[in-house]
Amino acid sequence: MSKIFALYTNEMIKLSHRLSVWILVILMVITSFSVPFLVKGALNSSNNMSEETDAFGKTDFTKRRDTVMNELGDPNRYVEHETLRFTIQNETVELFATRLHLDEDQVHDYSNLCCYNAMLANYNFDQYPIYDNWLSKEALQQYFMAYFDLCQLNLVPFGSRNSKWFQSYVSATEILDLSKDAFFYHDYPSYLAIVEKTDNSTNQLETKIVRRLSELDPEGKLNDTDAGYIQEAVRMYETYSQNLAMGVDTVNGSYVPLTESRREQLENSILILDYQLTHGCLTSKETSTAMLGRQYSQRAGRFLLIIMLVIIAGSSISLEMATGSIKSLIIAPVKRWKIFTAKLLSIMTWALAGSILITAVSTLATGIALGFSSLSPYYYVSGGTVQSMPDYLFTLLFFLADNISLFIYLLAAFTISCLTRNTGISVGISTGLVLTGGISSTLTELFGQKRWIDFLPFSNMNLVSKIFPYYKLSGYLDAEDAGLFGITNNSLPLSFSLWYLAILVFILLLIAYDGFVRRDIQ
Amino acid sequence: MAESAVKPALQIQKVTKTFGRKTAVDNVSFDLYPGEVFGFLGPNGAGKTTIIKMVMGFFRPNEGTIIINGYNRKTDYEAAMSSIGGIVENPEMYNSLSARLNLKMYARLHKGVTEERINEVLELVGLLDRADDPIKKYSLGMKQRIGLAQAMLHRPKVLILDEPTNGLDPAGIHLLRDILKKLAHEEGVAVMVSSHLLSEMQLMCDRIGIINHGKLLRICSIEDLMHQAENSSVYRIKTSNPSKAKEVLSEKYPNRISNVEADTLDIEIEESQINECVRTLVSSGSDILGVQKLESSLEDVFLEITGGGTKIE
Repeated sequence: MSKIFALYTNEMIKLSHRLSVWILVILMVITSFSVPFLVKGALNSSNNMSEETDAFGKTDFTKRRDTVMNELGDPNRYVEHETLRFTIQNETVELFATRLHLDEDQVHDYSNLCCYNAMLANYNFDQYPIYDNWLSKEALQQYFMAYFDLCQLNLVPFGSRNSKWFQSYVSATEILDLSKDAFFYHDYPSYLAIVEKTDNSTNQLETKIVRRLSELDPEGKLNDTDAGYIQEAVRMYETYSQNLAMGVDTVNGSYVPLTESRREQLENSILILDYQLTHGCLTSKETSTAMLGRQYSQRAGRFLLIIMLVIIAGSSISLEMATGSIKSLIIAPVKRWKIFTAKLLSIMTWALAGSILITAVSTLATGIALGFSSLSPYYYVSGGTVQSMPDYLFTLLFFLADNISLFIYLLAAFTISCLTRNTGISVGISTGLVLTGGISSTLTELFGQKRWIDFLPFSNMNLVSKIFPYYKLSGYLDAEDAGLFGITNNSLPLSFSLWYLAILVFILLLIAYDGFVRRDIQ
Repeated sequence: MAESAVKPALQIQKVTKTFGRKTAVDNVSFDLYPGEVFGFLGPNGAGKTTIIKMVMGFFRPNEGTIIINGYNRKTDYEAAMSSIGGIVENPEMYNSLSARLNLKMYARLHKGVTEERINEVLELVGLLDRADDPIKKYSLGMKQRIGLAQAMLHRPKVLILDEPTNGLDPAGIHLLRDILKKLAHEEGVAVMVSSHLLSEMQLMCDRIGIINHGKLLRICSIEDLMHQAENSSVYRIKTSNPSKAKEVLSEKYPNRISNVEADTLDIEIEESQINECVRTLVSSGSDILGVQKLESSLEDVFLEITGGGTKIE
């Protein structure tokens, strides 16, 4: 043991004297530090642009109206009026109706033009700014759609209008009235009524989502992004509840029976979502920007770290063989497997130190650039109640879990280095392995239904999503987007993946043992 | 030195190493005793380095046993290896690190090497003032010296140096010789030096093992080798007609005559036969202008032992 420690100390000295290592470390810190500022800059410039053009403001809509009017001219010249009579359930109904003399292409412009005119005449842009308000935007869309639907019904010649047309017409008018209320008076109940009427999703999912939204935000003050997060949370909440009730699980778009571990995951997810919805601690516009900046900063830093470590691992044996410095290790009274172990340990130390460094740098940079308070915590379930941990702590644990997968890659690089004894080849192959990890998601898309895919390394590499199954609920990126190893595949339990990786490590160690310990050193 | 009462520091027993079909070392056995400088002599490619690499742990022998300081290298690796130090081929260290740091790192792998010991060996090889320079700034000779310093750092019982004089200047060679002799004769270290230069061996070794084509051909003390050279009895006879003399002499001494020149010929005979030889020549009517005993060089002996086929530099 003392020999291994002595060898380990030596390895650390050697690594700390390598210029290339320090260059990469500095590059890593600079990149990781600058990304949150870049995100902030990009955000500011996109905000400025939309303010300049006054999107969804009065000027904007005037411009839009003028464009359409240039093409169509006066809308009233397409309109013909008549009073229609229908007999519905033995009662005669009289209707003052209009007919539009338009072709199919013109009708869209016409309905838009009418809506623009109405808006410009009546809408209170100061009281209800449309830009970045979810309800206003949604109601606006509903209003335009309802008007368009009604216009289409008005294309039908007077003679061909029957009772079926009449029913459609009545319902379209109702929806138009509701959408007017929703849009012009910023009225949530009217908007909800439209959704209820038009919802044809399974189990009225859309209605449930909007109802929940209206309960949480009765005055309709939320911006698009925040409303989007609430919608997404409610959608997950409802879907999970439904899956639990039916005992099924959705994997890659198809239904499979729910396993016991997945059942627990879903139940816990529901607890977390409910907690986040009721306590108002869902990801928001502010936190999501910070989290994005933070995670891209980590990702960039981590990418460089992985490249650095792969270079170290891939060259650790071969470089010493090339320069001949391996001799002083072989001559020393230490068994070769100890040399091997010490080298691996030293590389893992750098991986660990690098992870801590990146976490620190990215937390600091994100805090300075986007505000420390906007880093949202990680929510998890312990003992049936929802708990949270600070985000820097979670990030660190997140990296540690991913370092297990990183270890496999480094061991592979190390093994190849032992086998080929050629730095160029081993670093090349190992870097290739890391980079082609990206095609794994394509493979899943192609063969996602096949069971053999579970036995491929990348299906088991993503320990992060198995150890922390709820990280996405706290605003963290998907494994693929976060630049982690492997793909998110929750259908395999953690224990399976751990066993799989243990066997993989064993095989790699056997090969490396044969390549370095048993073979002669020339 | 090589008394049977003394326990050998290094025992090589029936060691064979093959690379593919080629047998690089063929059933080699010898012992190395404390307090002696053993020269391992052989032409290029004879198997010297292969044997050294097997002793130093680079190669595994296909057959045979290596025992260092009483420990079997195979079963007691670390104990055996802690008694050995050396340089294989060129001394190569971590070039970007200083000599001192290199030594410190090496010392960490051995027991009981102190800071003072590091300074001591650095001073011994004359590099104390350059110890904090990175190795990449060293000349080949300086690298040899620092290699030697590393090899003897942990006071090994067996010191093995592969072609240690490579790249050394005459002063360096002299210093090396003194260090090795001192280590062997005063501190009782068993030193093994390989070389293809006999003249070098002559000056520093007590015993010599001659190897060629993977086989150990002879082990003898340097005195024995010199004695053999001195005892060689080739006489150069100066005569007016060497070809006639050759005819006359070859009847009596077949296959003893060589190097027939314009007025000389060489003949290998015992000292007691000279009289008879001269008398035969005189009676055949040849003029004897002179008889001279030729000194045989060590090179000749070496060529004779290794079969003469391989040229010695």
